[in-house]
Amino acid sequence: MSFVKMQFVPGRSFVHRSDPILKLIWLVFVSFFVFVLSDPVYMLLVLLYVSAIFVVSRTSFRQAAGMFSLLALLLVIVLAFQVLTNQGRGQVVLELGLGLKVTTAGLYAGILLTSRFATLLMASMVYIFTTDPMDLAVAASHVGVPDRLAFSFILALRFLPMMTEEGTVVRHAQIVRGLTREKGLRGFLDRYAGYVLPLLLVGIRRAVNMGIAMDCRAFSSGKRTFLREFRWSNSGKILLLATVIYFAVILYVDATQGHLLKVQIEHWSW
Amino acid sequence: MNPDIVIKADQFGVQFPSTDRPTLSKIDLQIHRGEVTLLMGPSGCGKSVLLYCMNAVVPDIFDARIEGELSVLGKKVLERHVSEMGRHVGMVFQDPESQFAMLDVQSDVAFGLENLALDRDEMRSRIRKTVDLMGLQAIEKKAVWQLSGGQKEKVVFASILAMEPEILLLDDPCANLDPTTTNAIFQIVKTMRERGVTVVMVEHKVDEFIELVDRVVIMDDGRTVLDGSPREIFEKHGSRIKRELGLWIPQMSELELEKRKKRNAAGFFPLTVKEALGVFARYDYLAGKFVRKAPQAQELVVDVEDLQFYYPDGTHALKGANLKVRKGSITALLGANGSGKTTLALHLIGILKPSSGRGIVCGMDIKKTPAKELTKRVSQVFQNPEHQFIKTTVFDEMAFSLHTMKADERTIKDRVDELLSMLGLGGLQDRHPASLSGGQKRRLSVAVMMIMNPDLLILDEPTYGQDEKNTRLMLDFFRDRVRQLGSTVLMITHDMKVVIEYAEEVAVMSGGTTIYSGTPEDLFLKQEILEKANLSQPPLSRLVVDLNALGKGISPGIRSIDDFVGLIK
Repeated sequence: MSFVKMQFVPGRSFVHRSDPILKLIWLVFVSFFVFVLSDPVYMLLVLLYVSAIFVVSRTSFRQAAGMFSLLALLLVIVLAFQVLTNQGRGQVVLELGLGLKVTTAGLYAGILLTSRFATLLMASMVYIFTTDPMDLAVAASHVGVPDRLAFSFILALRFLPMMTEEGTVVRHAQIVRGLTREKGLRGFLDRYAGYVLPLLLVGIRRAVNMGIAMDCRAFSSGKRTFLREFRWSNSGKILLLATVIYFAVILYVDATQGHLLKVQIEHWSW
Repeated sequence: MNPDIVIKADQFGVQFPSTDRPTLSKIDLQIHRGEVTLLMGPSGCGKSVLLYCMNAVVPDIFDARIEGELSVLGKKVLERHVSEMGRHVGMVFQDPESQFAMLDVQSDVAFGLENLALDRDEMRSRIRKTVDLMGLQAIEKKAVWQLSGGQKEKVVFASILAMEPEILLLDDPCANLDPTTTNAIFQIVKTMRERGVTVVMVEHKVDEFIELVDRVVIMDDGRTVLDGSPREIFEKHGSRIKRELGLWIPQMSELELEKRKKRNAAGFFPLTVKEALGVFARYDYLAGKFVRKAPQAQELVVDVEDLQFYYPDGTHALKGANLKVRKGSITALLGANGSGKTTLALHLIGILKPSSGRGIVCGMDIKKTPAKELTKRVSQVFQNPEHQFIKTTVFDEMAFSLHTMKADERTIKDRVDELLSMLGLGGLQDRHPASLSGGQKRRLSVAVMMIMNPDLLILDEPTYGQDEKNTRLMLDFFRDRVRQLGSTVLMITHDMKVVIEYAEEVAVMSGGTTIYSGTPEDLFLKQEILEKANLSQPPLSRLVVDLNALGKGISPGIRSIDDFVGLIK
């Protein structure tokens, strides 16, 4: 099932051992930081850093590629679009003919945006692949998130593969009904209406039943304990600290040295 | 209140806001600590609702107007929340899938214990005990979606039992389980009973559980009509329960009742095969072979050989499946949960294409013919009727396929009306399919498929959660179609009583391979195949085998109670 591939993979790496909360703070920190930088060289340094953490987390490239192949394609498109449309005042590097030319400004803007995206993707992948959702629920509850909210995330993770499976069965069941035989817009609409009704019926029933089954097991009947322990992790602290220091150095160099590449980049705001 | 009484209903009634009649009324019931009670009644009699009142799901989650009083463990359920009741009352539902709260087995067992706010050491020791008791060691760390159907059910039970409930409520948990897994659940309930847990169950598999039942409560139309020990209830009222309420009663009790009609000898009244053996060993039996008329036609509707199939994730689901179905027959496809029956069926309607092997269905090559063509002559009724509904009224639902075939309105109306009334659905033309009762939905899904007069009809668990009346209504309908119109039926089922009575031939699958094909009566003599495929004999077949071990020489060809009674000298 393709869905399972985008889930947590157990491991013993440094990143795995970081607790979900500090790691989440790390993710949020990285996500904000990439928007502070406007120099492609610094941005590439950040990408390099997050890639290093990706490697340390022993996340399989193949798995990551499977999950993000579509997004990777988007990255290439963003790069191409920037390079070809953002002409700016930079030097012309390459004439492509038909009025298309590659300028340094376009190139730098493309590298900046693409590496920004790539950094965000990498950091998110590291988080998803190294964080057990059940640990996240425990951690969330520990820092005061209500149990029902903390567990809704796990329920969503359970619900998705269930509905995927259900969807397959519904499709099969409806092929037998002859839904594929009708052509044209009418047939198309019928096909979709045919999916929606049973999936909705079954989905709602399932969701209600899941909730009831949890309550029947005394969920939210009072104070609750956890089998899994939550501890603020040293590896999480080190990860966060190292990142803060590294980013501070970059900011310092940026502030004192200015842009390493003396090129005016027209900002593309988004 | 007597501390020995753990559930007490006093003129208890329930009415849901959406209905104009009460679902339960004037229920008086007292259940003692440690009793195993079986709630029985026709679909819609309110037995499940009564069960759901016992842990406050009604009215805490499903709002309803309550009359009288119901107290469970001294608490008035009307004033309590489900989660509060859940600390002492455990409940197991039908669909294991929607009962997991966590992502892996160990965490799921821990979930309830966490809710009880136990400390870690206590949790660990309870998890250990439960995992050992249920034999789940090998799958303790597995993700719940990697489990087989039987394993899922066991994990659901483990999660409840670890909480050590005083009362266990079971809402037909074995509806879709193969006989071996059902037996595993039987063992669990047995252990619970020995530990003094009070059990209240709604269960259609009466034969499988009757040995454990201390008390039977029969309900009809929202009221309790009979209440007593199983022996007393089935001896005095068995015929009526079967005839008027249309419920399954233990097959051995049914046999005894039929025998008493023939020879007026009242004695010990049996419920189980073991008990019946004592009763029926006293008689002698007519010799002679019970020969069934073999299906006349030799023409094959399904002829599949050595099918191999891999799912995209690499699962080798079919490893040389063979299946032959004769025209004009009812053939049963048997096997454990996950043995490849459903996968094979999907090949017969062209939805899945085999990796290798050959197969002809209704004269079409299943490798080359698209589902679009195959489904014009082959139909399948899926397990969950709701999956196949497309339209918003029963009439449109029925007319859909005929419309695609460009039939004229007059013909459509006649055909729809005729089929609906044959399946007891007359007058429901304008209802929304989703608003029908479970049994009605099941029959509608059958009617919808039959309206095209398919040459081959595949039924996936047709008796799933149905009482005897509805099961027979449907199966008799199929038998008539087969006899009158020469249609062919292939049914996937776990219900061995249905198999021996209705199927002329059976094919048994295990691990993706066909390990047996032949007649059901021969199958039920082959112990090693039954074990390998997680099957069991129906009680009557077991009785015959046991009697023959005593030298009674009964023809193994007998299939029904009438057959058997006819042989008694």
